[in-house]
Amino acid sequence: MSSEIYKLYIPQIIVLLLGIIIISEYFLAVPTLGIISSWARELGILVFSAAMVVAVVGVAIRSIREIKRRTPGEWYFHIWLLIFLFSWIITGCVLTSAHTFYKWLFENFITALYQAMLGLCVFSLFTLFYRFKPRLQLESILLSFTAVITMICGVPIGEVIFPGATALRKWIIEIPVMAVERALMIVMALGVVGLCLRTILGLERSWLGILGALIPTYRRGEKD
Amino acid sequence: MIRTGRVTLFTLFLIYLAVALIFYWLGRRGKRFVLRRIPALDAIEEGVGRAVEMQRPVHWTAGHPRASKLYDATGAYLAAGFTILIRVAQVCMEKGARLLVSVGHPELYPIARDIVDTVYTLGGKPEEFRGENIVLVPEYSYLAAVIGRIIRERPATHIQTGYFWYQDALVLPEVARGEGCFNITGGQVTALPFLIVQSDYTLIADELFAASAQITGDPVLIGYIAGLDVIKGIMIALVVAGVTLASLGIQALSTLIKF
Repeated sequence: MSSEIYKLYIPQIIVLLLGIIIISEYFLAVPTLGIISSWARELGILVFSAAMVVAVVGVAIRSIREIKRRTPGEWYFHIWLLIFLFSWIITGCVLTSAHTFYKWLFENFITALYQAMLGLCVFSLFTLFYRFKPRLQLESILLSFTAVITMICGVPIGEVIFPGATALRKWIIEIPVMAVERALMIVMALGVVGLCLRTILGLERSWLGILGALIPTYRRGEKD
Repeated sequence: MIRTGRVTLFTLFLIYLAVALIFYWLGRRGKRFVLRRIPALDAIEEGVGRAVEMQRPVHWTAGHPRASKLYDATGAYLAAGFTILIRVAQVCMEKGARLLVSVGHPELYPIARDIVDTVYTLGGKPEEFRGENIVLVPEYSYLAAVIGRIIRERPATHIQTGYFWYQDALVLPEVARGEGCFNITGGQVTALPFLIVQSDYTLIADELFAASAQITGDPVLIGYIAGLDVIKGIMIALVVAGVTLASLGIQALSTLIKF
């Protein structure tokens, strides 16, 4: 169990120390705390970059395995994935992200794919009514009705069809929507602060994997 | 010493910390608090059971990698989402359901893999862990990749807990529903309207953050959650007082908060 203890308690001690420093730096005007917290943030980016490398290796291993197995309907996509993955890495490392070729790749592949994704989302919105038709629940009717009112009232023709449309839209957005959104935001912010404090104090261990999350259960089991 | 404009906030933070720690201490001393059952968490067993009966997999995802990062303010949603993954993996392992995990965040991929692997190992079924079911999907094509996976694999239950952009919150549960999935979701405020409409069960507001207390059943964590409810009461009192005073034209409370 000793390796598990190292795996659990060393990260917890680091998180506790860094958490206290970063929170203190937000409230207290002490220059040393500012330097340490800035260093801690840089360390975070470094750890993130290391995780990126782990992820790239993981993806490459999985893709090679799928190609070797000739998984039906998938393996040829993995060839494309590997080609593009390593093209990007090599281009980025050799030419850097400021190079014209890198920018060309970005604009002609990434931007185009991303716009296609947004188009899919917009299409999904437009077909909302059709898809909701088979299951007319109160919530979906309310959502659709509010969406149509706010959309129609937001364009010039809305005011022509129904004078006062702009005022109605403004009321919907500023009163009921805002009230509910703020209530949810306050509660969720409290939840976020609660989770962060639990993490810093070592009460919440799900980020350490299942071992951390189960520690209280083990302790209870030992007592019983 | 205390930064200007943050004195009241600091005081509120200390009150928050003190109340939470008092309840944590009470929990440690053996005081039992009752935590309301969270329907969305109970529904995980129902969803996995459905998947076993239909002989179809369970799918879980945490959200778009460009919308959230583990090291910024959105990281709390991801961490909370991973707590749900632990529960999903446990139930899948117990019932023998195939679990598909789609992760968009490179930094979370090793964590997701480790979580599922450890769940199966601790459950005594390490041979049933399939690493290839945990997939890192590309950042820019996250939505397309996850939609494609849902359509190809046709899971019986789709679970998404974490931080989502509008399009993820709207399209993913919709596609899953189109494939006949049982949807369980949870996310931040801006995603909630879409998630609620499209899902069978949704973790609303701070239910996502209270999940670990129900999952582990740890009295100490439940005590902490009870402390947060007291803080919520204090916040409601402050909001009511602020609204009343502001309506009467008295700006004392808003001035005090900015102090």
